[in-house]
Amino acid sequence: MRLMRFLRSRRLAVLLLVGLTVYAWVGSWVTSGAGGPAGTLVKGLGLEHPFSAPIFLAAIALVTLSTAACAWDRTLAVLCAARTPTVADKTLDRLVASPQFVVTVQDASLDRAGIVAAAEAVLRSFRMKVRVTDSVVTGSAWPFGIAGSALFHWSLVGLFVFAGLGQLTRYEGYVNVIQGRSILDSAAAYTTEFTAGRLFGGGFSGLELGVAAVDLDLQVEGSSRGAATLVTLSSGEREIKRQWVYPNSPLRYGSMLVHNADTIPVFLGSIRTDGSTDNRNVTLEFDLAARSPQKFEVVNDATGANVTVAIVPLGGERVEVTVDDGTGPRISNAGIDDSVEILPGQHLSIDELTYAAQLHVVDDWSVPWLYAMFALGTLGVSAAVFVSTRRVSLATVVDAGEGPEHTSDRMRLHVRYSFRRNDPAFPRLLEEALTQAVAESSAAKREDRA
Amino acid sequence: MSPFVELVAVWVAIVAYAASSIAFTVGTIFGKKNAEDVAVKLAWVGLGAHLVSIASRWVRIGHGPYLGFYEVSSLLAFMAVGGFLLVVRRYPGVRIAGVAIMPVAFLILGASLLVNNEAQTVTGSLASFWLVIHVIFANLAFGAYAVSFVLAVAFLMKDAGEGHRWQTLLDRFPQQDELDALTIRFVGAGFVFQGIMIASGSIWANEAWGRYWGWDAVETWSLIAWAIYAVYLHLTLTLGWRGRKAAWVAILALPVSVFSLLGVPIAYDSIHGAYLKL
Repeated sequence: MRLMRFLRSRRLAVLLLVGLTVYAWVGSWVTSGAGGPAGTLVKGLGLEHPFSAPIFLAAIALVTLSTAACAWDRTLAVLCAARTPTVADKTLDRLVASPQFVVTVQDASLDRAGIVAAAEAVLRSFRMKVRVTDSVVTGSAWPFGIAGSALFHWSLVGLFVFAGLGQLTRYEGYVNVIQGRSILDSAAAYTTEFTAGRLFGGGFSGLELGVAAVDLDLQVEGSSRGAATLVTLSSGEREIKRQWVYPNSPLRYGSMLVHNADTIPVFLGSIRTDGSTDNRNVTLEFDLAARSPQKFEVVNDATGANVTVAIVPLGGERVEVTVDDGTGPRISNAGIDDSVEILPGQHLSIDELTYAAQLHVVDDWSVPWLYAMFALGTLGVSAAVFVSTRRVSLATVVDAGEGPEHTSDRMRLHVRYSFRRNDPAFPRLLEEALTQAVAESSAAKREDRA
Repeated sequence: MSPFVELVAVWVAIVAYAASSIAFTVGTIFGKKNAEDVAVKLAWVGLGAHLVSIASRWVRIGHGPYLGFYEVSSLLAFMAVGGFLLVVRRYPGVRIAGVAIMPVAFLILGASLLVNNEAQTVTGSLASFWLVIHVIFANLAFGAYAVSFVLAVAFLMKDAGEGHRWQTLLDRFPQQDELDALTIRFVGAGFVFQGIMIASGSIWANEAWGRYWGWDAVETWSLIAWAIYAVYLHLTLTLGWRGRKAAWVAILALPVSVFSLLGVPIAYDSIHGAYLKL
């Protein structure tokens, strides 16, 4: 119980929000490159890696528990509101004994029916549903508006839980696939960069990721989308999906999302040795923008010396091949199907100049759930902030205060109300409106008499 | 459409906002109701010219005002003035708070003219309808927060003016409990809009980059501003804070919101930097 009291404390909620704010500020400051002892300390604590820093995870766990406790509290309030009868004897007793304010009816000839009609009109002007019984008039507006707050808090809990579970079980990485080929979505495919949650058990999709075509400037509806890749997803011989992938148009299959991270020009060649059937394949990726050469080395078996072969793309399906065996570079300009001698008896064949797509693959089942929580949370918070849950009960009481009367004696209007804190002006506005309505009814009555 | 129209319109808006700020100041200091009437009219003139400037640029360059510091800050100033004038139509007593909002709008719009205003192209990851939703709600959130700031300033002015020689002037304000309620409503509206802004940005980031949250500086500062307004809502709706204390929280939260929208992309390295390129 003590733990529950601690968790549902409103002050704790505020403190946690302030703590989260300070943490985020410090985190953004450190990741922006701030140095000094403070920066070192914060980096040492791992605060700039929120998804894995123990302090952050502990704080988020506490935020989640506190939010859940608050959500539970609010749910109980909703259930309580649902059970509360609109009119009860207790309400009448309280109205007579302890009204929150009283409107005195100045005109003794104004009967109960007139007062009730005036009050009813006022309650309706506050957009309340009005119910009149023999003794009490009640009005209520949006009795379940308080459910918005509960919904918002439960959505936040869901958001934290799904985001946490998603981070623990997701995997994400980059695979390079040469145009016209495919690669199996497995651990071996992620050679560039790979991250996985602590609970990821190695369950890759086992599907074939293929690149059927590359377009360096895809035009969609008349506008350029930049480099794009026609990605295929296959299970064995069966193609499951085929789609052009470019920014804002990822390939989606189940919980898997495939983006085109980069398009890289590649050189595919093979080294043939005279009199041998063994070919050594060479795959080189170019930084086309920098036009920097890509190199590989072969060993001259006769001398034991290393020979460096550098290749630069020239455009138009031609490359410049530079062979340097230490005696000075030999430069050749070669095209597809040409071969260049790199050592006596060894030739480099230019097989293909093509492109590889660097595909960003992420498998995170939690994302649609997070979106659902966003949507529910928005509904909830909108209701919590904008819906004014109001309840009013009022009764006419004779001056002696002995209970509701049906006489035309001078009466008072006893009023009790409840409202939410998003609506602080309501009591004053209600009192002003009721006072004015009763006064106007009295005036009308006087006019009638006159 | 010629850039000339845009240029003339934006200068008309700036001059009108400046004149409105002066008229509001005169109205406040000397208690001149006429000066306030003129100030409100000038603000409407400025807003109209501002709208012409934004619309003509939109037509000319083919995309909305969401790329580059010039476009983003211009739209924020427009939303702040627009939001303020809409509230003034409903609650004329609040208009004196224009003494706070109009100079801010004037300075933001003025600052936008000091930087490069060449049109940027919508390419690659920017070509998404989520961009439109994201930007619309960012601006709605800012507009709502700016109005809550105005209301909180009005509350404090009324509070400080009790028994003061400006009493008559301040009597034209709505009652303090009404100002309180309105501040809560507008912070609430901003909170909802900013929530949608963050959520739509998150969905867009997932579509564009394959991750819904990356702790980028702009993302983080949006969260910070959101959390500060969440603190305000908690203080008022659950702890029952009212009056001066609550008004001060609403006032102090606005600079954080402005910094998260305009300052962070300048102060930090951010992948969002492109939208606020100077």
